[in-house]
Amino acid sequence: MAVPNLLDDPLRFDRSTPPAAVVIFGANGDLTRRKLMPALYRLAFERRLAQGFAVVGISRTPLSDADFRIRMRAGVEKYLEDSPFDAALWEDFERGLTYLAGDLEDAALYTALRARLDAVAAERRTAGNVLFYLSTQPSYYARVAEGLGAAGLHRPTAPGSWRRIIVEKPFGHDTASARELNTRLQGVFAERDIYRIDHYLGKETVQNILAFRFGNGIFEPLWNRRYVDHVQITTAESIGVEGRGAYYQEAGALRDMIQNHLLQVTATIAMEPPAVFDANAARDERAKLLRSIRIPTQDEVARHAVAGQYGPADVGGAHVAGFREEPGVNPGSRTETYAAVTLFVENWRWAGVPFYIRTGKRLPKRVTDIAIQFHSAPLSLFDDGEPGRWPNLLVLRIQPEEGISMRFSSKRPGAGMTLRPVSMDFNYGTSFGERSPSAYETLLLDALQGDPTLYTRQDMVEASWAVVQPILDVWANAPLAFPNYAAGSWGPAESDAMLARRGHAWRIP
Amino acid sequence: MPVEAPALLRELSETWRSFGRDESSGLLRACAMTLIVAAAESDDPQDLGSILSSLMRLHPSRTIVLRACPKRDEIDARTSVQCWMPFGRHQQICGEWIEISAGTARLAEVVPLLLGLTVPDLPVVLWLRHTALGFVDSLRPVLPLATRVIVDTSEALDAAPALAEVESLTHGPWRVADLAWGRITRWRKALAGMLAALPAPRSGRLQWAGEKMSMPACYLAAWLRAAFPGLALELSSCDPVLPPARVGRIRVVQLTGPGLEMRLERPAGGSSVTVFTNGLASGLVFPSLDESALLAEELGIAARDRIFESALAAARAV
Repeated sequence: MAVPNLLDDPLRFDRSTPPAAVVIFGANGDLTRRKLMPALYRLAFERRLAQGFAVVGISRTPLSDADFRIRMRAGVEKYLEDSPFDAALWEDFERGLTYLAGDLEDAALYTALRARLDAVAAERRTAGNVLFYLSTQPSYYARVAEGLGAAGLHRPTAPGSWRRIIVEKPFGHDTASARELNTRLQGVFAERDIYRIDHYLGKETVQNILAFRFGNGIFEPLWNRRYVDHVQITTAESIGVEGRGAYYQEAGALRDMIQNHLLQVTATIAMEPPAVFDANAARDERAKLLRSIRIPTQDEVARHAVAGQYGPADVGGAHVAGFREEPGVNPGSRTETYAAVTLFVENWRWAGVPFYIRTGKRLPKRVTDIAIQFHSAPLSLFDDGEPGRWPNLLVLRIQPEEGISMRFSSKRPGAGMTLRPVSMDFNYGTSFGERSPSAYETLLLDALQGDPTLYTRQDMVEASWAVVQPILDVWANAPLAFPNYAAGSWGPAESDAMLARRGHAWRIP
Repeated sequence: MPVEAPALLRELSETWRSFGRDESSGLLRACAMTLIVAAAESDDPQDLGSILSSLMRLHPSRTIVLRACPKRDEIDARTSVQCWMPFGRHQQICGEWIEISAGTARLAEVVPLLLGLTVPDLPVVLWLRHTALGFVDSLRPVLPLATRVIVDTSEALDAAPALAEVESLTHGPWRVADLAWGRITRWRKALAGMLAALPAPRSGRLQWAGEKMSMPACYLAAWLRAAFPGLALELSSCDPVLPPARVGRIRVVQLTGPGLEMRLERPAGGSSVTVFTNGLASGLVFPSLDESALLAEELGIAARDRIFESALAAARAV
């Protein structure tokens, strides 16, 4: 047995986080208040940040450091999940928060940022390490990166220090713009320093898919076309666009959810086991899987993809407006608020197995889950009148009740052999009393520590766009009879028909 | 009346059923292992209860507390359910609790009870809170069930016999852990972090409080010697007054070599450690650790702890 390196004890030593300044572009926005600042505060609470830590918030709105701190505190107090707010800790944490107002297109902003970073490095001992976070409108991503480059802020100032940049989705709005964005980002930062965030990959339950598949011996042998009939991935929202009408109108469900989050989830479900669990091996397998998805021809789109938009309805005694009546939305909008697609993965493991993916707003409940439906028993021994009615189903629940359940048939008590489906359930909360870190906590810490495993790579982004681009192209020109589903329903009838053509039906999650 | 495992399990089931009737939507039964705690009659029930309650929040279990009572002759047992409400949630999480008291002479009779009370198919952890109570021999039939046996030699006055006790437990398929090892994690982490960027030490000194060497000091010395073969490490007491283990008994670690002058010094009763590295001074804080935090650290480790095993093997030579 090899002698372990006694100075390296990963079982007991937390990975250390180097000192750093985090520069948030778009610091006055919702994401900063709701997600980023609560995540950073929580990391400070857990003592996962280095002592030398600072945040520089950047936005157009003029604000003093004190006003910025007040706003951030309000956001943390309101949006901190599963944790108490510690006022004393906040006082210490907020000393590291400063703010810089400016126009992202003005070179003077970057000059001022350079001076601010120099001051922060001296006062807060951040060692010259800087993590830039782009939380602006997507149209500014490339310009900010180029502004940083022009000011030389992308270059480490001290030996051993680093500069990294996190880019929020969407990474482009189609294949061409994604390529252009990548080219411009890579014109300034090396690919290893570009962290494209897909917060779904930071969710504990999505990471648990890998543990479930590759940490157990009994599931992987069944994880293929021989035993799996089809896979359904559902992300449903019960709410509408909630004040994001203007943004959502430009994006739509396919771009907003499927192109990024749900294709990443599909890749996690269907990928081959990596040889080792490190950043590039896992991402290589995800990328390979994404490249294996058959790209539909324009003729196939009508049979393989369904767009929907919710119309008004009375739900639970309240009137719910249709999408076109939402504030900020064009009354003639052709944007889809629902999208369902059938995908095929063209490799030996999955050939012929449909992957049905759906997402939508104003559906009956908020839920994200993945259901693996297995083939029915080859022979029905028990005449219960409905042979094959309840095939085995393995459901991986991502939210809200994280867990795993398995449906199988069982004999009903009493005379005769009548079968009934029953569910064997694992609930995350049952076995782990620990609080799960939020996706942003996990991902921010990874970026500070230089671990890109849970971030997407350029080839993954481009492969994802390649899958949805033909659908976007067809929908852009097709006559869409919107609205075509009522708020509070499970989506348009065409979506049910898409599955029915293969003898399948959507589950009720 | 004899105490029987099936009756205790029925009692627990009945408790769950009654909870179900009263608060059907608000409770979640949680269990990831069986934790058997071998305690002494003198252990303060409130202290122990508080340690195990906070542990249960991180590692939900069926907890079985076995108390050895030297002067008693009978065996008693009672069951209960402990619930807590995680912050921001609306559902209480509950774990099962069984407390057994037995005369020391009758501990062997408790073994069949323990065998019948473990949760099927989940890990069994045995925490021997005191290794010198005659527990070890009485509970040997339970050891093969255990995936992990945890001891705590922190309070031992002399490392030599304590080390022998730990070693006597290592001959089985279970993994042995010692909370005294967890007490030096912060020392080790600080030293490892600093030494990673500095030349290897050739000589050094380790000093402790108390007349004889404590187990944490013994482990730290063993770890340093195993990490740096050939290190000439001088070991000595610097203060005859023995502080409680939770305060920490290691006082000074000094390491020298070409291009290296390092000294970590902790004052008596203090939690701050002064660090001198090649002429630069800085500070660290090593807060005192209760058993709950140490147990949580141990139970959070799923893999075999090869670093501890190496240090344990090296400790014989200290």
